[in-house]
Amino acid sequence: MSQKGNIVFNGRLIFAFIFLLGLSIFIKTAYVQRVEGEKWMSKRDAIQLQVKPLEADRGEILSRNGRVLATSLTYYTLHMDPLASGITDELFAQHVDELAYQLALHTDANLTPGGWRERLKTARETGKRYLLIKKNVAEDELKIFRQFPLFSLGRNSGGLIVEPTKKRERPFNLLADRTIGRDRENKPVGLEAAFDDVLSGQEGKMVWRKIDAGVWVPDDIALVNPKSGNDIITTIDINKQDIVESALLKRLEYHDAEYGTAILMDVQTGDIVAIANLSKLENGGYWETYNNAIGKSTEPGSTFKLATVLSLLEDEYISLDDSISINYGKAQFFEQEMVDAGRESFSMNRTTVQRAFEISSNVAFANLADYYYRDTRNEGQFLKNLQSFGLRDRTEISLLGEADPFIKEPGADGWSGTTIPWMSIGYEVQLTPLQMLTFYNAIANDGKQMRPRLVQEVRKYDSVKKYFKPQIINKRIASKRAVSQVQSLLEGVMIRGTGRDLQPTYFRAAGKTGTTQLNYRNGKSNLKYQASFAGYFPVKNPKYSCIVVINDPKANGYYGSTVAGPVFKEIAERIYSIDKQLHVSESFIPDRLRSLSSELGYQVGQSEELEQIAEHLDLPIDYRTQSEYAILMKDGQENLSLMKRSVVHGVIPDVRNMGVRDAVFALENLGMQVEVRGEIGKVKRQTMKPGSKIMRGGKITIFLE
Amino acid sequence: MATLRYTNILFKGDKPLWLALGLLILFSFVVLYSSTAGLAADSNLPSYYFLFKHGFFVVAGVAIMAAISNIRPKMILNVSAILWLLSIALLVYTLLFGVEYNDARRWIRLPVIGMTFQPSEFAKVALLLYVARELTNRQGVIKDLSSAFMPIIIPVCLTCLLIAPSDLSTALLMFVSCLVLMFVGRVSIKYIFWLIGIGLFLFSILYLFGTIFPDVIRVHTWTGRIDEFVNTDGGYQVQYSKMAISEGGLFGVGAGNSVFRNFLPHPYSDFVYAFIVEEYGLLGGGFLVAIFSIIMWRVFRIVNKTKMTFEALVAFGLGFMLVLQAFINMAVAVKLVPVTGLPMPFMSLGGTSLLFTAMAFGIILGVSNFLTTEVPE
Repeated sequence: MSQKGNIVFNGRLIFAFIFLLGLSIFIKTAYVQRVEGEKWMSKRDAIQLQVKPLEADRGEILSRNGRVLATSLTYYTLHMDPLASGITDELFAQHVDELAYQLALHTDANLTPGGWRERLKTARETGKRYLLIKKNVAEDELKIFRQFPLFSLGRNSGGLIVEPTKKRERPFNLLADRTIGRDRENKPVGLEAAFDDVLSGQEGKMVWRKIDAGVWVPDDIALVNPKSGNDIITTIDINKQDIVESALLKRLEYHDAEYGTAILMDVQTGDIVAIANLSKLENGGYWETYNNAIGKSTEPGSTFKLATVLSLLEDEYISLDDSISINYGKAQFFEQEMVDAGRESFSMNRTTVQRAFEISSNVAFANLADYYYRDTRNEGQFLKNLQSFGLRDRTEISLLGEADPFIKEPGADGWSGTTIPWMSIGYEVQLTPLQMLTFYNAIANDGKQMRPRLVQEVRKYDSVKKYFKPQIINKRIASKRAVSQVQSLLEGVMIRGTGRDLQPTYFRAAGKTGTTQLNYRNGKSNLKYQASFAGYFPVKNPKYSCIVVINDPKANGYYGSTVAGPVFKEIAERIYSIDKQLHVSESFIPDRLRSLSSELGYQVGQSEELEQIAEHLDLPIDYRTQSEYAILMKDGQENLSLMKRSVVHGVIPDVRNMGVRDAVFALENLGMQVEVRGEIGKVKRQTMKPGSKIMRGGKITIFLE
Repeated sequence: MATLRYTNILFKGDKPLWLALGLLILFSFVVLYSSTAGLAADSNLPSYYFLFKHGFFVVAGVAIMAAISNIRPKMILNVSAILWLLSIALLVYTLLFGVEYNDARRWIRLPVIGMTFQPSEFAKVALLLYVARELTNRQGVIKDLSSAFMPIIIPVCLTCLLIAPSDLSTALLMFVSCLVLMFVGRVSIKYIFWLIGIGLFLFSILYLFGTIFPDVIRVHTWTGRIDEFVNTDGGYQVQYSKMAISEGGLFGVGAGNSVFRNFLPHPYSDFVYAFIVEEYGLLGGGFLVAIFSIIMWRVFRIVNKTKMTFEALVAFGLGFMLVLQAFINMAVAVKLVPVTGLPMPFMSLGGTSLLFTAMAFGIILGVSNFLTTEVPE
């Protein structure tokens, strides 16, 4: 054989050997799996290795302005395994003093370094492999612990056992608590429950090892990292929520009521800006324990008359100035007698539809409904109207557990000759406060019914995963005419009717009171009531609708107008004061509004703006000047005039009594440099006399009050 | 041919070998990213740290392969003696001044750039080159003891003895590879058996000595290992390794889902095979075995084709050593051989190893690259 041939021959032998080695590795691998597999799997279980789910970071629930309403924080419980694989006798002896010193410094176990040293040594000697170091350790603190001697040896060798627990924190505590909800504990509720799949993210995996009898410890790092959940941006405005919740709480306490709920809704979008649900606790305090606004339907009482009157107007059976019988506030429907609650009815035989609504006459609307809808051919018409007002459907708000509205069907069980009259005044029907508000909101929104929106967006970090558009339930729940007529009814209630004491001071609201007897079926002893108020504000271009329901007030009255109404009024006034969108010109009006209402006059400013204010306040102006600047004059009892305030060209104008903005504007327009002294108020004094000649670039100082 | 050369300006030489190496390297990225997760966490490094590090060395390694495959084997032959002498010098230096890491002094810190470097990896390649050179030069008298066998075996023993104190596994691998190369290079098999006989004799003397003076020689750890291998299910390392392999099943638990990477010692080097079978199943393991078998096959084809003795021997020696190393690494995981600490070429973490493995394959590819142009002497 040649030299080369020999090499190739020998090489071939070796190649065959290598190939066989590879083959045997493959076969042995298969053998380990197929033949020995069971043994190894049971061995794996015997050494007690477990893969358990690892909770992901739950997404945050945020307010519409990005404030955190609910967030998850991770805390750690630290234990030590003094017999961990990396801790040799030598290392232990070497570092135990320093470790004991650090532990004494960083734990609150009331142990001195000497005490810790003893504990560590005893644990190591007695084989205690799960020595508690500290509970509730925050992320930052954990980093410090990891650097301690021995612990710094690292995962599985340094003996530090880290067990994470997640806590859900709600920084705003009580505010909208029930709506934000709970993700665990007994039963998940609120947004936490409804958006659980969005918030919860994807579980990871973690290996747990059994280090001692009954002692399982998690590995330090995740086997499979969990994917954190998405955040949801709600429509709740936490400042307004605070206003709503505190206004409600104050009133609940004052009336010692069972529970109360208040919802504030953005008229155009249906956004739930605030939602408060307070129930009395056993200790007499109040807390958000049940979402009555959504989860519980009750007989609404007189607030339902809006639906009745809208139905009658829509069907063109009546008009607002029709004279109708109220028979001194009494009526008989079969064996049942109906009585008005308001005293005014007792002196009236007949009145107009408008007036009857304003004083909330039961008899008037029961009679009308009975007259027009009792006919079997027509009872369906009433129901059909209620259907198109959205009162027979759930609002389908994005929360779980919305109660169904209950409205009887003709011919169904319990439908009788008295059903229509009682239904017309809000009995024998049941609605949740939110369902009622959705109806009122549609009226405020000129007939366009919006679906209540509680969540605007699902986000992950800064990217929007899903956007929930404001949704229209019904473009027009009734004719334009009928809607505008009931708007004027609701406005009238606040001017002359049961809500006249509830009219906000600086603007106008519309609404309807309601008082429901809760236990009228159980005889007349110890009557319980539910006071309610539903409405919207301001009357022109309504921005918010709001409903307040207070259940079983036990002290200081029970009428809707005296119990629920004041909550509405406080909410409306306080929301108005902070919501800049409600003001015509933010820098201009608030101060002037106040002085206008007290002085009603001698305001100096731009004519156009003064006019806007007056219009906003529904103050009629008799005379309008054409000049740019004007002075607002009180003219007789109620009326105002805008008199000319002339600015003579070429001379310094009189800016006294002007607002600072107008004064500066006027002067700077003339090429003056203006210096302002003082904080707020109108101009009291000016350094250059009115009428003196202007020097371009000249300096003038104005002093405020 | 010219067009082929032109289009493959970068990857010269045996294309299937390039392809097999490429697949191996691609697979190494997926494997290392997951297997180093624990290591990264322990060192407080981001999870992708080792991936990037590996990527850096891979780029450097591929560049080295491509560059060296352009060097004529003749030139390698010319520098092989110098390389070997250099490796001996480095090994001595390491033994005296090396950096200790994991109880073994295998490293020297390179001045200026501050990186550590493992001279034994360099010595592996250098020794094989040197042996191939000596075998080639002594083909005329190859069956002779004093003019062929002894002059070759002495440098082999010298190198291996210098490595053995810090890395017995590598020393043994090199020794075995050199013996095999000598066998292939037609050294009289008689002497090889003689050498093995003498080795066994010396070992038993040592063993006896050790049982009498157990403090001087750690006989019990040797016997312990053998005993463990023969009589038990293996130490905890092998047990975890087999559990990982069982866990994997046919298709594996999926990339990144390994449980046992947290328990296996060095899932990114010594027990990377067990880790791979756990994540990618029997199929993944089979893929790896197949790739290395293909590499061996291609090397053998190159050996078959070349007309030059040195080329044949150098390609065979390097190829055999690296594939054997890979298979031993795998064999440990399935307990075909006792536990050793050999990393798997390309698949294991470690920069020096990767660069010299690349260098070795560069030389093999170089042999295949110049096959057709070289005229037989």
